[in-house]
Amino acid sequence: MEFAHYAPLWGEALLTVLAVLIVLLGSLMKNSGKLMGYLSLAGLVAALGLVSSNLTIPKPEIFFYDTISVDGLSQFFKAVFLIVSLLVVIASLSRYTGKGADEYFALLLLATVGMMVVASSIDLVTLFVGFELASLSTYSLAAFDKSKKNLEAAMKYFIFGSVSSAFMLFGFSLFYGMAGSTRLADVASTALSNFAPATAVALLFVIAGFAFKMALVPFHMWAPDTYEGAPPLVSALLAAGSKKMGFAAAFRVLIVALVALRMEWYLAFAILAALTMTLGNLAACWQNNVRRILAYSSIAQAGYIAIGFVVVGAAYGVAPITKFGGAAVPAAQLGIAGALLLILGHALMKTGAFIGTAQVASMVAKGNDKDPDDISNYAGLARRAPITAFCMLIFMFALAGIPPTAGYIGKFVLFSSAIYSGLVWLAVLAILNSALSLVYYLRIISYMYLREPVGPKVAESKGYVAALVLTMLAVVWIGVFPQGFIDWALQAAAVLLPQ
Amino acid sequence: MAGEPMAVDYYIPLIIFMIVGAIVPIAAMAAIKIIAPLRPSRRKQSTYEGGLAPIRDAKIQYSVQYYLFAIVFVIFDVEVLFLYPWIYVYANKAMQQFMVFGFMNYAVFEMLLFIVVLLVGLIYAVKKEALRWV
Amino acid sequence: MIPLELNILLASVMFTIGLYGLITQKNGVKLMMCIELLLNSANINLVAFSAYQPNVNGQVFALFSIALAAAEAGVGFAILIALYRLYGTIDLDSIHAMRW
Repeated sequence: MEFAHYAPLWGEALLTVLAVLIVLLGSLMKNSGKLMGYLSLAGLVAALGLVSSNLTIPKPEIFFYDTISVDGLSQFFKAVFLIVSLLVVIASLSRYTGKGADEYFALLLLATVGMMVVASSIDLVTLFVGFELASLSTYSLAAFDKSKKNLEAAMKYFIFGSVSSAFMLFGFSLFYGMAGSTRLADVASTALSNFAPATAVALLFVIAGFAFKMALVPFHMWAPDTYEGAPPLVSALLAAGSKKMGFAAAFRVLIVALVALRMEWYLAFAILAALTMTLGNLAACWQNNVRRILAYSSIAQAGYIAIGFVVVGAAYGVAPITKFGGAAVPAAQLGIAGALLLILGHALMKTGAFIGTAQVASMVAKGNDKDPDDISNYAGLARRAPITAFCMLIFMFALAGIPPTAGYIGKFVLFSSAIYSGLVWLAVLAILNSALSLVYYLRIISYMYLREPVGPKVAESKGYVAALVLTMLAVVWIGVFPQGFIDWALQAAAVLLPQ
Repeated sequence: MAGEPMAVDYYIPLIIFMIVGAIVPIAAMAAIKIIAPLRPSRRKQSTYEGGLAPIRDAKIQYSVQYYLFAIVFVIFDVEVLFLYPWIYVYANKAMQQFMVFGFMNYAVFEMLLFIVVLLVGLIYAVKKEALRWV
Repeated sequence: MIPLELNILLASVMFTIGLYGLITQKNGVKLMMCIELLLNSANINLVAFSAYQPNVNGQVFALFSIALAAAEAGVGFAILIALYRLYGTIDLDSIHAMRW
């Protein structure tokens, strides 16, 4: 047994040990809330350091009898998850200090570990276990403040989430029956060499399971209620972390599946993506609750990201593209890279936007008993809380895809890959949708900057401000210096495609 | 019966058993109805509770405490499940060669980790007073 | 040995019953029971397939999913109890603090 051999997995190990330690310390010590927050902060920073120390791995490293793979893709997603958790923890430092803080931080760390395991899984068993670890932790987190809204949100999230895991498990069981192995590579090769109706049924179950988690349109009903009702910081984790975990799993499984389906089903995904973004954007226009608007915009963004799947199917036989710096890149790889960039950007923007709503809600909670997320509370925010308002402004522009922000880069790469692979109608629809989304983003901005303030200037909480400013800087940084991130995403995308 | 037995054939004894099992109580009840004289009285019609006079309603609402205990029990109960496959691996000769820290069997080390995590869970449940009856 | 088809048929029927219950029932506990049905139908599939394979991966997978189902039930009941304390009911139709 060589412990040094497992060096690429030390990040997960550290966070797991820390979560158990926090549970232990929290039950033995009194008033340890502040300590727990800083412990998890330190742990996440260390884990981020460990993950980024081998961010680019030339050759996948396989562990635990072919179940865990550390490669470019897994490192990309792990970095996204860790950054999101880190930002949420920074914002939580000033919010969760008293009784129950230890549970909050332990659950948050466990959710992060679950997502990281999913990102690394190349086996159905580890994928399912990681998925459930993250899901169970987030179910509990969604109910954390135990208000009426929290519990309703958590119940809806729980029912939909566990039904989706059951669908996924049923699909996995059929996969196992066909391939005789739980390894994804074996499943893929069996499906490729011997495509049976059972493969299609299994795929349908698995796609349904993942689509619940990703909140694609026929399976999106839980998302607005959950994001509105959960504690705001948990909504940030759900929208930015947990949802991206669905994409991580879907990339691992569905890309394989799309290859197996001989590229014929990409049209179904195209329709799914088109429906998702259109419906999400249209529904967002009618909402008055800011967190509900963000939830619907997050559904729309899931639609954009799903274009990545379509491109993989459609790009079959398309000549490599020589844009975006240097060597020629297959269109499919560019599509996945675009989706990855949008995932990174969206994770940052959504975390920031939800932390912003948390800031507003905490300001208003002292004032009146109105719905804390109602858009009328954002009137004149630029004068009441200037830093929060400015950060929100940047996030809204980034979500709409206005340069130079992270949202723009992701959309640009993704939509151009769609055009290269002959999906002009989808790209046009996506761009029209982006324009439509400006309607509700500008509505929030006009409330913040053009309306008369509804209350006096308030002191902005330090934790929230720190998290907001960090996120805002990251969003702008990716927008201004995109080349490094594009190369990184391209490298991560290469893992999924056959050489 | 010639040739390969059908799957259903294995269940013929079971089906016979179920039919007999259904007939016997019906027959007994019918026999009582036919043979025994019927003279109902108020006391005979009341609920039988070990010979004592019945008190209160049979339908009572359980305290929510039971559910908390049940949750904790279910989780710890099911975790024991993992000990069975572990024993199978532990008995494997090839497994004995893997050592952790130079002296501890790999399988023992893994199970030790698992038990420690469970123990932390138990300490948590005790300290947060999930197991105290109020 | 029981033919594989019968096992899969049983699993499919169980899955369908669970799904039907999920759509028609309103009681929180009944919904949890339906979810257990869904998960267990997948377990039957796994164990049945495992009997026809040279490896026991399916049985190991089933063990994991049983443990996870128990944990899921634990979290679900905890949420239900908290819901009952606040709303005084577990009829999910009468719980709507948020509008659709």
